[in-house]
Amino acid sequence: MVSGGRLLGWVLRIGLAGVYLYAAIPKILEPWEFARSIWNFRLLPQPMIPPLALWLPPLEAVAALAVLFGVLYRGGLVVLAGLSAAFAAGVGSAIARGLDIDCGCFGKAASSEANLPHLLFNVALLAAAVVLLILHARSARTPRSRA
Amino acid sequence: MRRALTDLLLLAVAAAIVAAAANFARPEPFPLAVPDGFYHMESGAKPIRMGATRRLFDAGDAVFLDARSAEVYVGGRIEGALNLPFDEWEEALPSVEPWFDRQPVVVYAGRGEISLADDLGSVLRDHARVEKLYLYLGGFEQWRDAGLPVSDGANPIPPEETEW
Repeated sequence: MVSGGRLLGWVLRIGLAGVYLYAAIPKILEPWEFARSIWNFRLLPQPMIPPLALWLPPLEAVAALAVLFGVLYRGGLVVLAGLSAAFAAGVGSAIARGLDIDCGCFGKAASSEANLPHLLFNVALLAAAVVLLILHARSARTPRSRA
Repeated sequence: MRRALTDLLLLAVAAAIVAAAANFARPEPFPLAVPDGFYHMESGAKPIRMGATRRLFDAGDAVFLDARSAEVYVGGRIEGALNLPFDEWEEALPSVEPWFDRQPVVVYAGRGEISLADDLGSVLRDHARVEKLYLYLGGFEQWRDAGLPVSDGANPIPPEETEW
């Protein structure tokens, strides 16, 4: 019998990793598109954009796989939490500045405006990563306290 | 704490390795420096650099369109390119449109004139039957300076008057 916490953990784990894998693949395939999406936010200096457009999507994919398969699990969760927080901040700042732009989170796979629902979606991803980190910390403490 | 930092570093390095491998696997690697004009492109044309442009040129299927003025065009252009000056596109478009049965279409202008080529790309998107549109970022001067084929003179004969 799977406990409620364990089931929740797996649902969040598969959901979070799935979203980030789905987001990463089209951006790995189309760095030009993603570079333009980053530039649209008008937050970063231009020289930073091409390296970031190349590195960020593989980081999403690698962290998602780490979370899914439990290898470097905590590190993967921290990366996905950090990325979700950064994306939420980016979308939030675009809304605050009145920018009418596509967020570019899913590359060409899905067009999505940088709007309030999208901000909330990123906050939900951040919350999922944080919950998983808490569950992991608890499960890591339990065997040690028994030993 | 130290282990957590090591994990993060490992993930960052793994991502960098995947990024490098994916980029080398592309027919044309994505550059670490991109011309400024690229970020302002609005036509939806796919940006390409010299390597991919050369491959399209060698394949012989693409139509090359030079967005510069007729005076500049006659002085030198990518070999076989047609002239569709952006400033006179309404008058010039009917004369080059018969070529659009061939695709893709590659637009270009001079060095640093990405916006000019992109403006022509927008015209093609809105007013011509162009489904596969590329924009050569390097411009004519880069092509010429690399020793790639160039020619000069007026527009070639329209396709309805020649056998392909």
